Amino acid sequence: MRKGQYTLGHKWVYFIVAIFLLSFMFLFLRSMFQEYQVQKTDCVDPLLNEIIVAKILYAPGCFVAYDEELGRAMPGIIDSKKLTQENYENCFKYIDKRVKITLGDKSIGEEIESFVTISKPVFILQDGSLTPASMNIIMEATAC
Amino acid sequence: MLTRKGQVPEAVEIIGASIIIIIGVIVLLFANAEYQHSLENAKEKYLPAKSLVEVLDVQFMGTDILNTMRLQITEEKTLGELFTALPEESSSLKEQGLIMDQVSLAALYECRESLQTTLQNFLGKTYGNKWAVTLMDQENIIFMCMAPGAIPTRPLSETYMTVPSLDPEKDLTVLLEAYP
Repeated sequence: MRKGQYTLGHKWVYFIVAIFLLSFMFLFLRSMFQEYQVQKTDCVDPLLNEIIVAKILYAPGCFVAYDEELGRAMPGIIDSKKLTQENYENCFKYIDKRVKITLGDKSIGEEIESFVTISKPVFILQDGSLTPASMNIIMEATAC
Repeated sequence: MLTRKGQVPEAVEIIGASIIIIIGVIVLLFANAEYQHSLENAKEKYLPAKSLVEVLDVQFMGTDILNTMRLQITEEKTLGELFTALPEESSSLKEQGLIMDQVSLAALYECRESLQTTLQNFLGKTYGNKWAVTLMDQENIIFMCMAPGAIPTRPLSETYMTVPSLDPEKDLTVLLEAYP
């Protein structure tokens, strides 16, 4: 070896490769944890489901009966006149999820392939009288 | 590079170390997969079976109990009105075949089959045979009606509402419970 010449030994090469590998493993694990956290916080499907059910059961602007004399909505009582496809489209305009509602013979909403069904005991208001019934709320299955 | 007698060449060391790292990573991956698998097995074995009652079903129990109180039981009375009449008008309700004296539980009165069927028809599609409606006067259970075949256990979820009593000095509490 000449004077002043620097030789990169094999051990050095090994350590450089090892550092690269370790850095890669660290970055991979870090991104994996990050992705998991993002997935957890990004998943709003359960919240959307709650909003959908709440809209159906409580919102007088959707299907719930409204008492004009008292000036208040009647939660859990479905006005048969309001249960229309047009009303459904107005009501779920800003919700990016397909829903189908069946109540007695009536069925409104969209066709869904993979779904979850929720049954709620409700009353139907028709011609001033209340009839007990079971409402099926069919929603797209949660993707997360 | 010159090596001393008995010393392994560096190239062999590097290759050997790389192979050991790869084997180590594979072993760790296998160990992790095995751990996950055994954890899933243990969960299936020891945790109770998945409830038939959907979580979303029990998140809106408020409307369910309210609607149950609106249920027409006789020509004159809804369930809420029937509860209001308890225990003062219990003899009249017993004559109508709606309630009976306690059989096995601590409640003063229990529902007869006709009332139980009416409630089951209304609540059964949501809660299956895993519901109970209880009427309480403070700590005392006045009335209880359970789904046919239901076994009382720690409820998955419950909700309550207050109903007036014929006695103006007290209020009654109605409890709707969903069992897992």
